[in-house]
Amino acid sequence: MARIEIVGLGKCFGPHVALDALHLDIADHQFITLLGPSGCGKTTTLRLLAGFMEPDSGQIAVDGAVLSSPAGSVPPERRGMGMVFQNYALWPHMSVFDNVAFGLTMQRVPAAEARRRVTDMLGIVGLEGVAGRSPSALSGGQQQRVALARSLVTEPSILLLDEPLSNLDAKLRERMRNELKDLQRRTGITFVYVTHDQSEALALSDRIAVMAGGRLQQYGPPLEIYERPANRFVADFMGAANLLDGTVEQAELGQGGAGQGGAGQGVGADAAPGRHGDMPPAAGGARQHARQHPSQRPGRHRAGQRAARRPDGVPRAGRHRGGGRVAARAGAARRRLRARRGGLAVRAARTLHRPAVTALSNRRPQ
Amino acid sequence: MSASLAAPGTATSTAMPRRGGTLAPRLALGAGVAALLLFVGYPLLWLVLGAFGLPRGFGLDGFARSFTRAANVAPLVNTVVLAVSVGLASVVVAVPLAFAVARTDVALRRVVHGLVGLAYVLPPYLTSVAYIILLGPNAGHINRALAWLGLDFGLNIFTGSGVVFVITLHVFAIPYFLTCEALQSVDGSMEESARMLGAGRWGVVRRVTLPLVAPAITGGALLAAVNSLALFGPQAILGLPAQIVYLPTRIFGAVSSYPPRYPEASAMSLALVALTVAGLAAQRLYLGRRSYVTVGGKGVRPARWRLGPWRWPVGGLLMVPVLLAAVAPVTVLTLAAFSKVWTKAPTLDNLTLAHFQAALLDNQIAVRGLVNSLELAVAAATLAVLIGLAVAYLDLRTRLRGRVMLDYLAILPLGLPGTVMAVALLQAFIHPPVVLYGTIWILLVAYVARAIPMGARSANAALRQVDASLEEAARITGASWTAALRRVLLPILRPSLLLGWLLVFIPSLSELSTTILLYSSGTETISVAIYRLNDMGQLEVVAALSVVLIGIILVALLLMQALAGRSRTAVVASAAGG
Repeated sequence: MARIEIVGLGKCFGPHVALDALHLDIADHQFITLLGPSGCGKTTTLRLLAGFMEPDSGQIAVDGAVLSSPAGSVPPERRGMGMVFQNYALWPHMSVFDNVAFGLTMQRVPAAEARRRVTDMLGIVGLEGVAGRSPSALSGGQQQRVALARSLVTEPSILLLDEPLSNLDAKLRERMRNELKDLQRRTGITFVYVTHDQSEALALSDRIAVMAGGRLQQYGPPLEIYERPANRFVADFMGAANLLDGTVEQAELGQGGAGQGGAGQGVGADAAPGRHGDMPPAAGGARQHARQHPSQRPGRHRAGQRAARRPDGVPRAGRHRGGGRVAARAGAARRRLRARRGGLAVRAARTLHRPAVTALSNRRPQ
Repeated sequence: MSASLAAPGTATSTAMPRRGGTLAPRLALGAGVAALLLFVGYPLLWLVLGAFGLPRGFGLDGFARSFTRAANVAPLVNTVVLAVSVGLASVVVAVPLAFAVARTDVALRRVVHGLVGLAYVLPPYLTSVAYIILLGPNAGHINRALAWLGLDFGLNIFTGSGVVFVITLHVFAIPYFLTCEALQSVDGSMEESARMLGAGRWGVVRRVTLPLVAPAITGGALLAAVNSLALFGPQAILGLPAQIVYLPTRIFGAVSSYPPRYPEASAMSLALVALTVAGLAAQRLYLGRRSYVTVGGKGVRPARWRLGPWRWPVGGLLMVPVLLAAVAPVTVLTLAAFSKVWTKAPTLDNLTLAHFQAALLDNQIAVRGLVNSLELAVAAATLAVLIGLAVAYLDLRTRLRGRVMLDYLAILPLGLPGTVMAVALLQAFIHPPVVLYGTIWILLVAYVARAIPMGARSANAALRQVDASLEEAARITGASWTAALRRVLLPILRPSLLLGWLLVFIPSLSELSTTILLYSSGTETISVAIYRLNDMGQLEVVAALSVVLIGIILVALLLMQALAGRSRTAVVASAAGG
C-alpha cells in the first residue's frame, strides 16, 4: 500500500554533508533496514522521511505523491506514518491509555471507538493490565510496547523505527525482535528500521541499505549484502569481516591471477560448507568486488588502519606495510593466507549465525 | 489480528506538498522576538543616544560633565569602594558559613541554609528600614540597649560602613550558595587521596578543597560586588540622609532635578554599566579559566566532619549572620508594625492594628501601591516567562539564524542595573513614536525587561530537560505544531515554568530601583509607598506595609518549595519516559 521512492536525497548541516544524493526504492509491505555506524546518515534519512526536516536536494515520494522536496514538505502529522523512537518518547504526563489514544484524539475518532481501538491495540502488544498506569511505572520492555501501540493504533501505512531495541537488555531484545518481525508480517505495514546492529538487520529485514558517510554503500537482501559485499566497507561492517590482502600478479579474462584466485578458492572452501549450500562461491563475490573496487571507491580505507582495527586475533605474521607490501611476492602471500585460514576456520565454527565473509581486496603496486 | 490493522490509512497519498513551517509558530515566536527588541533593544539604543545629547543636540557634553564635575566623581569613587568592600565582606561571611553547612555535622545547618535564602529574597530596602529601627543614632534599639548598659559606641547606620553592612547582609547569599554547591560537588576521592598521602585535615582544606572551590568563591564575590552596585534602596535610604552619594543615587538626582539632565545621567549610566560588565566579564573569565570542580555527582560524596561537642557552639556562631540578615529585620519590622510607637517596648498597651488599617485601607499611596505591585508582578512574570520560552524554544528547537543574537539580547539586562534601565526606558518612551511615560505601562515594560534574563534562563533549563522526541512523537502521531505545544510540551513544562514564574514574581513585587525613576502619581508601587512613607518618617506604617510584603513573599517561597519537589519528579518522569 505504501511504496517509498527516495530520489537524490541530500541534506547538509552547515559544512557537514549528512546525506549525499541517496536513491532508495522501498517496495510495499517490506521490512527494510537502514544500517550503518553512527553519523552515516541513517537517522537523517529517517527524520527526512518523517518530515521533521526538509531536504536540501532530491525528493521523497510515497505512492507517487511527493512528500518532501526542497520546495516544501508535508508536515509530519499529515504523512500517515508512525514512528517508534529510540527513547520511546512516551509522554510522562499521560497514562498509558492516553498515550496510545493520543493519535486517535487528534483524528477526532469518537470516544467509544477510540476506547475500543486502544484496548484492542494494548491487547495486541500484551499490555492489557497497565492502561491506567503512568509510563514511568513500566519496565523498558513495556514502555517499548506502549510506544509501538501508540504508533500503530492510527493504522499508519509506514512505520519508522529509530533503533527501537537499543535500550533493552540482550534477552528482551531477542524477543522483541521476533515480535516486531511478526507484527510487520501480520500488518503488512512498510517498516523502515534504523539500526547500527548488523545481526538485528540480518535477522529482521527484507532488504538492507548499508550506509556510510552519508552515502548508500549497498542495497539488497540480507544474504546478498552478506555474501557479496559491494565494497570493503560493507564487508567489514557486516560482521567482523575477514579481509584477506592479496596481490594481483596476473590478470586474465575468466580466471583469477595466482594470488587472487588462490585466496578466493581457499576461503570459499573454508567458510561456506554446511551453512549456505546454495550460496555462490565466495570467490565470485570477491572477484566481483575486486572488479568494482577501483572505480567505485576512489578514496578507500588504508589497509594498515583496517588491520589495526580488526578484532579477530588473526596472526599478523608476515604482514608488510608500505613499500614492503608493494614488493610482496607470491610465495609470501600464500604463506600469509595459509596462516590466516587457520584462525578463520576456528572463529567461523564459533559464531554460527555470523558466518565469515570474505572479501579480497585488490592491492596494486603504485 | 484486528481487521483495522490490516487496512492501513491512505491519507498520505492525497496530501500535497506545502511549506514545512506553518503560520502559528512563526507568529508566536515573532511576537516574543518583537517584545525583546522593543523592551530591551530599543531602550538601550536610546541610552547610548541620550549620552550623546540626543534628541536635543549632539555632543560629548554629557560625558564631560559626568566625569569632571566633583559632584559626579565622588559618587564614582564611593561606588567602587562600596563594591570592593561588599565583595570582600561577603566572602568573609559566606565561606566559613558554607564550609560548616556543607561539610560538617554542625547543629542547625538546615535552619541556617534556609535563613540565608530568606535573607536573599528580603528586599534590601526593608533591611535598611529595619536597621534604622535597630541602629539609628540614639533611638535605635541596639544603641539604646547599649546606652542602658552604660556603653555608648555611637553606632550609626547612616554611614558608608552602614551601607556596606546592610548590603552585605543581602548579597553574601550569592557566594554562600555558589560555594556550598561547589563544596558539595567536589569529588571526595580527591580529598581522600590527599589524606592517604599524609596531609592533615586542615592541610587538605588548605591545599585541596579551597583551591578546588576557589573559582566559585571568587565568582560569587564578584557577583556580590556587581549586585551591590545596583542596590538603590540601601544606598538611598541609608546614604542620602548622610549625604553619601553613589552612582545610582547620583543618577537619580540628575534625572529628578528640574530640568532633568538626561545626557549627564546617561553618561553616568554607561559608567555604571561599564563597572557592571567588567565585574561580570571578570567572573565569566575566572570561572571559564579554572573550573576544576567535577559536575555530575559521579564521584564519592565527601564525608562530613564530626564536630562532637562543638556541634552546638559552632551552630550558635553560624546563627549570628543569619540572625542579623533575616531574623532580626523581620522581627523588628513585625514588632514595629504592631506597636503604637516603635521606640517603646512591645507591651499590651502599646499594641495596635491601626498601622495595618492605614497600610491596607486608609493610606491611598499604600493601597494603590499594593494593588499596582500585585498587578504588575503577575503581568511581568507571565510575560517574562512567555518571552523566555520563545527565546529558549528558538535556541534549542530550531536552527534559525540569529537565534544566538537573541540569546545575548535576553541576558543583556543582567548587565544593566535598575537605575540604568530606568534612564534608558525614560528616554525611549518619553517621546514619540512610543509614549509610555506617565502610565503604568512603562513600569510593566521595565519589569519585563529586567525579568527577561531570569525568564529565559528558567525556560531554557526547563526545555533542556524535555527531549525533542516527545514533541516529534506528537507530530508524527497526528498533532499539529500548536497541538503538540498545547497538549504535550506545555503540560510537561508547567511545573518548571511556574517555578520560573515565581522566581520573577518575587523580585518584581518588591522592585524599587527602576520604579523610583519611572512611577508617577497614580502608578505608585508598594516599594515606592515604603520609600516615600519612610521619607516622611512614618516608620510604623512602613513596617506594616513591610509585613504585608514579607507575608506575600513567604507564601510565594513556600509555593516554590512545593513546586521544586513536583518539578523534580516531573523531570525524573520525563527522563524515564523519554
